[in-house]
Amino acid sequence: MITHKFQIILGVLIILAFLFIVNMVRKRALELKYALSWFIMLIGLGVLVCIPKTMNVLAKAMGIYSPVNMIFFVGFILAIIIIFVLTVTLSRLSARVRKMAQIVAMMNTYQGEDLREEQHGSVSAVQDGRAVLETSGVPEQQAGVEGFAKEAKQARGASASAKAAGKKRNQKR
Amino acid sequence: MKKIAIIPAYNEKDSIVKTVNDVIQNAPSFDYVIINDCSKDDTMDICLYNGFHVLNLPINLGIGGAVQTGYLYAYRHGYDIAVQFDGDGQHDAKYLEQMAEVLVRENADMVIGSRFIEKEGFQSSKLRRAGISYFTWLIRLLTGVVITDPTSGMRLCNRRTIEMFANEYPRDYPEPESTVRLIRHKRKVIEMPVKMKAREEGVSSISSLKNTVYYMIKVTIAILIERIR
Repeated sequence: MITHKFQIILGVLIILAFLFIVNMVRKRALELKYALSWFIMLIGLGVLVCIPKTMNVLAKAMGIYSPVNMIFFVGFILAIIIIFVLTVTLSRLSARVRKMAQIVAMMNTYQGEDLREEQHGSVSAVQDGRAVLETSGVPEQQAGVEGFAKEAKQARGASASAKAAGKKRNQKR
Repeated sequence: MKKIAIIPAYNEKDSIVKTVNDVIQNAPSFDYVIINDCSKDDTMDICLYNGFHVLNLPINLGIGGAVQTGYLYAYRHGYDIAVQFDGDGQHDAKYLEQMAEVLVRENADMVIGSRFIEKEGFQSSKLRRAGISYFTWLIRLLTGVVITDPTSGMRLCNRRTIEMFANEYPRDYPEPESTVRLIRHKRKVIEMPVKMKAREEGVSSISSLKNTVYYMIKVTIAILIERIR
């Protein structure tokens, strides 16, 4: 049989976890879709803790000596299920990101070539890629690389400041 | 005043042409943009073949993400009014001009086309009506505002609301949740009677028992959480 003390501890823990998750969803840090499985798990555990009799019956049915052990067992199984679903979601997500990156890559033309095209301004040089390389020489290529690095830096700076702005906004809420 | 109809389309090859022509003919002051949500059939090809204006999402975002893309487009291109107009042939474009007029006249932030004010046209199945009136009840309980058709996809927004939706829009089953959000922000949401048609082609995303249960629970919790945000 479960002691009242432990019953209370478990109950408080469940309530705290529940409030924490609701708050996360409220702040949009956690999507409701993924929070639902946690809610179901907490409600299941809550029922077991509040009505220890169901626990005794279930424990007996499953051949477990101590009802508390059964709480841990059930909680463990549920957690494993959630983790598994999470890995499945993660796999799908990474496939989607990959696909998106590939499509974005196909939409962008190679910018390095475009730069050279502008500098030379001649169609023939662009048509024959090798000619461009030969005439442009090393310094220009380096400039190109530096240009890229600069652009990348700017892009990163922009995203960083966007992030900072996002954080600020969150804090305001 | 620039106006645009956002037409989300997922596997709507049989109805998309009809829908777009409906908008072009019956709502001449509206531009339109189709958001192809990575359809598995040849919706995209049909749109390109007909020369429609279409945005093609590279991955499937679901109805919320697709419509939000439309709001983002509307916001970026400086539209004053945007309306969601479903690609499955349920909506009737002849109401759009009227809805825009009502929005301007009443100075509202959103006008919802409701099937249940005059109770005309396609009324959905009994079970669905029960579900919808449950949401009406829930929203009235939490906000005190009566929305007779909270699940209606036919919603016309002003620029303020476009901006809000472009920033933040629920991912799936967005209508009731975002309506509550607007009301909570003290925006003026009004309804206007419209007639809708029965879905001509394709199936609703909420048809199996599992989806229905998930839908009811998810939207209920979403509305409750929206209330305490």
